Parts: sequence; C-alpha cells; structure tokens
Amino acid sequence: MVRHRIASIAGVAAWALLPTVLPVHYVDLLVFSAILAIGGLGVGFLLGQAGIINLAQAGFYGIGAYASAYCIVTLHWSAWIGLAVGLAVSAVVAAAIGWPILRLNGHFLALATLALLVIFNALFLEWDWLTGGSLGISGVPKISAFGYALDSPRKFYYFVWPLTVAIFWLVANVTRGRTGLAMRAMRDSPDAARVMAVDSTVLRAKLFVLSALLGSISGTLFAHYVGYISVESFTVERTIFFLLAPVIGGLRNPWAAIPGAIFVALVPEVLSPLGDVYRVLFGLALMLIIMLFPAGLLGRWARSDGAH
Amino acid sequence: MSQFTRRGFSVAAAVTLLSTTSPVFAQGSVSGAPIKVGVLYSSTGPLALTGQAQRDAYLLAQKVVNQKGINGRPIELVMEDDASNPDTAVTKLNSLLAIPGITAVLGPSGLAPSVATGGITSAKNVPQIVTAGIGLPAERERKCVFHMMPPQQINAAGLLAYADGVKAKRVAVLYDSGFGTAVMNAVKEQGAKYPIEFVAAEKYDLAATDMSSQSAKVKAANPDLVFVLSASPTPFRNLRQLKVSAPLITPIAAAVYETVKAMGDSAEDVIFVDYLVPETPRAREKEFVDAFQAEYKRLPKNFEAAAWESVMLLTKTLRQVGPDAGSDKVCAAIRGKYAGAHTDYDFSQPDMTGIRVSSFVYSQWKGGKFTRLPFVAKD
Amino acid sequence: MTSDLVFQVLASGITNGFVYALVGLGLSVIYRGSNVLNAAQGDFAIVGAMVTVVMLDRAKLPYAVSCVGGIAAGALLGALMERLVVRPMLRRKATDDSMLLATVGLGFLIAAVILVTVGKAPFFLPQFGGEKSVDLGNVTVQRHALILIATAVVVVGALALFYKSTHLGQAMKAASIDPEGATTIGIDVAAMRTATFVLGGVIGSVAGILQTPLIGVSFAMGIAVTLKGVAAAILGGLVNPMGAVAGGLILGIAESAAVLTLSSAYQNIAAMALLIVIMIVMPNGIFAGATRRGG
Repeated sequence: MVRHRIASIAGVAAWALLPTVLPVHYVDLLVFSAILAIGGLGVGFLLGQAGIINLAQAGFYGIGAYASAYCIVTLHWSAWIGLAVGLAVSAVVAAAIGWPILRLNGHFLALATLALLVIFNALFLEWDWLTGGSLGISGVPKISAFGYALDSPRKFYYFVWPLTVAIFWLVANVTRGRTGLAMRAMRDSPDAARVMAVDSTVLRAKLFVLSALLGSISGTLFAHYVGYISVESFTVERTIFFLLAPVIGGLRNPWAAIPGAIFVALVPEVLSPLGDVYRVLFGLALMLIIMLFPAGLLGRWARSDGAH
Repeated sequence: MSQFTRRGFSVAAAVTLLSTTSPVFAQGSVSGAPIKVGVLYSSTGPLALTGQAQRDAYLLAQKVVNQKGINGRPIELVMEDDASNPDTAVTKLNSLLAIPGITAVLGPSGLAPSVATGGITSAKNVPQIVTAGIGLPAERERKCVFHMMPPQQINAAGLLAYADGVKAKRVAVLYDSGFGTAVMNAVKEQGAKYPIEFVAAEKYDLAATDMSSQSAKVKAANPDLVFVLSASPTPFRNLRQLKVSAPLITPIAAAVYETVKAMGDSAEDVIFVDYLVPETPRAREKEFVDAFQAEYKRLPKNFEAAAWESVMLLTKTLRQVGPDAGSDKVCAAIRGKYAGAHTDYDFSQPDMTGIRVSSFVYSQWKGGKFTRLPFVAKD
Repeated sequence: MTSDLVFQVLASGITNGFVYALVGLGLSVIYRGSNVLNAAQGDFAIVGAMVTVVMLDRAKLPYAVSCVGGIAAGALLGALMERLVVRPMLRRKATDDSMLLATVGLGFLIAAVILVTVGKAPFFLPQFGGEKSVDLGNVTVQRHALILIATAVVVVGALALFYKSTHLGQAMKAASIDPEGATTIGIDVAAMRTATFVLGGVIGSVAGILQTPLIGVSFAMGIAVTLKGVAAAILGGLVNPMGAVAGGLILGIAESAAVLTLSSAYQNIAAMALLIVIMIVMPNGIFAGATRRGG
C-alpha cells in the first residue's frame, strides 16, 4: 500500500515537472496525447467492455470541434454553449444512427461506423456554410477564465491532463458496478444476458452515445487548443489513431488509452528525423505490439476486481 | 532586380556549377553566428510531390545566399516536415519557434497548414513567408504573414480572363472537393462579370480515384472550354478518354512535371495558368532556372520558384535592416513592392501578396514541354 | 439527361464495379477460407501494381512478364502474410478483433515500405489493347475497360471451377468449413490456409494491375481500395465470393447513378448510405447463401 502511494506521488511529481525539462514541442505532443486519449477512451471502453468497434470517432471529434468553432466564431456564443452544442449534436447523431446499426454484429458494425465516418467527412466538406469547407474555421479563442488564458502548450498541459484523468475516472466507475457487469455479460454471453433482462439494444445505444460524447469533448478541446480547424484533421487516419490508442494500451484496462495515446502521438515524432523510413518503423512497432502483446502494453495490469 | 546584381547572380551560378558537392556554408568570407530560419514543407502526405521539389529549391537558395552571406553571416535553414497536415504543422512550428534566435519561418505550402501556423506566428510576432495563397479573410489581419502565391480570386480571374479572351461562351468546370472547390467558389463569384454560361459544374471527392461519371456529364454539356480545377492527373485522362474535344485549362496546382507526365497523352494541348515556363526563361528568371537545372539536372516550376523566392526575399530584407533588427522592422521592410525572379509582388496589399492577374503566364503542353502562349490577361 | 449520358455513366459504373468486385472477391476468398477479414487487401492490389510498374519502367521488362511478376508478388505477399502474421496469431488464440487490427497494421506497414522504396508519385500503367477506345453507339468505352471486364469474368469463372472441380479447391473448402474433420482425412489445414491467402493475394494483385492503367497507383491508395472491396464483399454476403462480384457491381453502378441524379458531391455519401441501409435491411447480404455468417 505504501509502495503504491509513493509510486503515485512520484508519478504525479514527474508529470508536473515534465514541461520544465522537455522541449516545448514534446509538451505540445503530450497535450495532443491527452486529447487523443479522451477520444481513444471512447473507442476503447466500447470495444473492450462491450465488443463494439467505433470507427466513426473521428467524425464525433469533428462534430465537437466544428460545433465549438461555429458557435463561438460565427454565432458569437460562449465557449460553454459551444461545448454543450457539440455534445448535444453528437449524442443525437449517435443515438439516431446507432439505434439501427448497433443491431449488426462484429465486422458489419465496424464497417457501418466507417461508412458513417465517410459520410461525416463528405458533409464536413459539403456544408461549407457551417464548416468553412476546405478552408476551415479559424479564430477559435483560447480557453480562459478570470482573465487567465491557456495560450501556451505548457498552460494547456496543466489544464488538460487533470481533466483527462477526471474523465477517465468517471468512465472507469461506469465499468464497475451493475452497468459494467451488464456490458460484459452482453459481450461475453449475449443469450445469458438476455435471460437476465439486460436490454442489449438499449445498453449498446447508450454506450455508443457515451463513446460519441467523449469524441465530442476531445474535439472541443482540440478546437480551443489549436484555434483553427479544417476537415483534414477528421480523416480515417485520425479514427485509426483513436482505435490504436486503447488497443496498444490494452483493452482490458480502462486506463489503457493513456499510455496508448502517448505512444501513438510521440513515437512518430521521435522517429521522424529518420525521414520517411520512420513510417516503416512505426508500422513494424504497431505490428509487433498487436501480435506479441494482444492484451496491450498494460495487459499485465488488467483490473483485478473481476472486471476485465 | 533585387539585391543580387546580374553579375552577382552569374558568379553565384558559376560557383554553384563548379561546386555541386560543396558543403552548405561556403568557405572564406562567410562566418559568424548563423542566422536561423525555420522551414516547414511537406515531405510526406498529399502535398509531398511539390514539397520535395520545394526542399530542393530551399537548399539551393541557402547555398547561393551563403556565397555572400547576410552581412557576412551565413543563413541556416532548419527544415521540418509538416506531413501536409495542419496538426503536424502546428507541432513542428512550435519546435521551430523554440529554437533560440529564430528569425523567421518559411512555408508551409498547404492551405490548411498555412492558416493553422499563421495564427501562431502572428500571435508570437515572428515573420512568416508562406508558399500558398491567402485563404480565409481572417488571414488579412495577420500583417506579418506574407504569401508567395495568389489567393483563389486571382486564380479564378486568370481562368475567366482567358475564357473571355478566346470568346468561349459555354464553359464547363470539373473540380475536386479541396483546392478545386476554393477556386470554384471564386469563379462563381466573378463569373457574372463575363458573358459566359457555365454549362456544367461537376465536383468529385478529393479521395476519389475515378471521375469518369462526372466527365461524362461534362461531355454531355458540350462546352467550348473546360476548367479543370485539380492537382491530380486523373480528371484530365478521364476527359480525354471520353473524347471531350474542348480545350482544357487548369491553374497552378496541376502545373507540376510529375503530374503532367502522369497525364500521359491527355496532357497534350492542356493550357496552364501559372508563372514560370522554364523551357523558355525570361531574363529575370534565367539565373534561377540555370542554377536549379545545374544543381538538380531538371527544370524547376512554380512551387520551386516560390520557395526560392521566399529565401531571397528574406535575405534581401535582412541585408537591408540587419539580421538582428527584430520582427517589427523586418515585417515593415517586407511590406512593400518586390520584384521576384519569376513574378512581381506587393506585400503591402490586403491579400498579403499583391500578385496581379496580368502577371500570369499562359502556356500549353506540347510535345513534352511547356510552350509559352502570347495571351496576357488584363488586370 | 439523355440516354447517351445514362449509358456512358453506366459504362463507368460497370467498369469500376468490376474492380470493386475483384477486390471484394479476394477478401471474400480469404474470409471464407480463414475467417480473417483482411484490411490489407487493398494493399495487395497496390503491391501487385507497383511491382509491375517497377519491372516495366525500371527493369524494362516486357509488359506481359511484368504483369506476371506483379501477380507473383501478390501471391508471395499473401503467403508471407499467412506465415508471418496470421499463423502465429492463431497459435496464440488471438481474437477476431486483434486479427483485424493486425491486418490494419500490416496495411500501414506495406504502404510505408512502398513509400520508402518507390516514392510518392502516382504511376500509371499502359492500357491493355493500346490507348484506344471503342464507340458503342455514342458511348465511348476504353478498350482496356472491356478487357478488364472480360478478365474479371474469367477470373470469377476460373475461381468457381477451381473450388468445385479441383482437388486443391475442394480441400481448401473442406479445411475452412470443418478443420478437424479435414485433418482426419489427411488435409493439411495450415497449408490450405496458406493457399487461401496466396489465392487472395493473386486476385488482389490482378485487380490492382487491371485498375492502374485507368486510375493510377500510389503508395497511399490501399485504404481506399480496401474500403470499396469490403463494401462489395459485405453487400454480397461476405462468405459468398460470387456475391462479392454482384456486390461490387451494385456499388459501382450505385455510385455512378448517384453522380448522375444527385449533385456530384453526394456521390460518396450516397454509396455509403446505401451500404449502411443494405447492411441493416439485409444483414446476410443481398445474396444470402447457404452458409450464414453474420460476422
């Protein structure tokens, strides 16, 4: 117990000191990691706990970002309203589309969510009165409160990571308790779950909405951090990163998306001085992790309370 | 012409010819603390084709500048790949801005990366010279971000002027969902001024691999002239394979040698609206074209020229105000007229580039090379 | 909208449809034979085409020889994939999701290797039958497109014959339907799985070589090709390779029809929406075969 506590305190101290020793663009990448982790959490818990692959996450990420940007820059509403609008739209879309497609299984569902992402992308480009089309929306202001603006990577770092941890903690609590039990029953033994009065369709829809909400929060944070959003940030590549983060971290552990996101965000940067070859190394690293660590990097630390 | 006299340029070209394997900094009179300049270009991603060519131009420009240096000091370009992506561009920009003593940032060349990075450099008051056109109106507020390419309004004007000049009454447009749409919006805005009927406007998704259905609709509309607003060779091939006989005209994005080669036979007689026809260089650009060809054994085109130009512009400015003058003085010094190797700029204009429609050079691809056309647009 | 335009657009749709069909066919073959959904199938096509390009342009070999080389490369890639990725993962009892992700990772890797070896530029191959076109009435069709369609039909026919009439084909079918039973009658299930992937690789590379003269090939195209192939395969019911062919044609024609009737911009949206609707309404695909696999 004491060892755990010392380790935790040391961990927090290390986290707090990192921005002072790392070059600024690594701090910047760690901020992106946090944003990626939140969206990745959405994909990860849905896959790990309920067996559903959500490949549309980059689309919900986009909805959150565009909602915030449009509400603030074009409509001149407040940032809180922008966040709320993003969440509401994502929830409605996820519920409306989720209801029919969540009845599908396995690969079909994955493909349906991917098709959804393609539709989102096409609409992001097409509805340029809303999204600015290929030109995007610029001028999203930094998050600020009481005159203090988060206008540097370091300031944003100290804001976004505690927020990320809080969100993860909230979601991890969902996977405990009866809802979590119901999810895992539904994943592992659907017929038995039905007998136990677990309404699979409703539960799946609720989880899909939650996943979308996390994507939306991620998008709003992204818009406020970078200040300019364009459709190129919401591609299939981004959605694969949202998927890779929890997979690399380990699907059995709800916190896994954090080390996974850090890996996905930092490794390409660390390798990029090598030139184009870095992509080969990144691909190889991915393959090795998926093949050799099927439980992910955190596989050894799967939850010990029976939740897995 | 600018700081370099014609003689100076010839000497530089000769030295370059003789010393193709010389190190980055010429020996001798150029010493002292290097003047650091960050460069963002696209080594990977959809813009990689032009990005690689720009990299060559940046390095050549650095070499040539360092024959003489800037007040005796060498210039040092720190190159970073933005992966044609705004998020990566922002991260790499942050790492460039963290370099102590960074004087300015050159690039990127993509529209979205330019807008994204421009917000940061203007907030941090670091001069930036972008090799893309201005996209959003908000960018006009950024008085220290300069553009080496014209906005889409000028591209559109160049196309419409030609259509008007050849008395084409029925014009069809085939455009992609990215850059093409931006130009098309400008064409729609300005088209009303001309006695032109747009008989077809067919859009295709940027990621699409085949546009033959859209091309069929263009063919069915029986146009006199077709605007092809795309950076990809495929729409040209689709149009010609369907035996669309109308002339095809396209703006600067497709005017890249590799793209034209990939068009195959469909490239024949396509009209390009850009700035540089290196097969027959004008006096003002001869030194650049010769130096580039000597160094890399191939001809440069517009994106290379823009990259080269941005280095030369910065060099001229720093020689004028001194390398340690500070951002405000540098920005103020740039903000005026500048006669580049391949075109004239006026950075005091609201679109931060000042290129005029009359600066366009119209050329046609014939028999494996670009051939100048006599047409000149009016402002 | 004249009938000429309709037929012209239909011709495009059918040509594209056959390409999607071939990619979907390869996917379906692999899925039926090994239960692996190969997210790198598009990259088989890209590799086949790229090897052909390199042999033709750089080694200056005759076109026919280069094509054979491309197909051989596809076959080799399939075999390597089975040996180095699929087999070890099956040994470790990997889940379906892990296997899918491994193929996604492989797709990344292949694209990266192509980027590093060949570069970023797009490449085109010469069209079969010369750069000539044929006029059927007022409709212009490339000779190459006709050859593409004929080749695709031949491939599909040969595949059907292969599974029905050859020893190897029947052994592969048996090994996939009932591995344990197959082993008891002396079928080497692992070798059959390798053969399945080789076959998938061959079909994929044929698709790549056929499509490159029309749309070109570049290192990043794998994902787009895979997506269309998956859509085709699923429309056809995933386990029924012939269904994949029909699925591909339906997808190609639907896309073209969307361009014709809706604004061109909605082409992709229409295709994807159609896919989602069909999956919901007919989860076994349009051609629900005797073997029902819901994924």
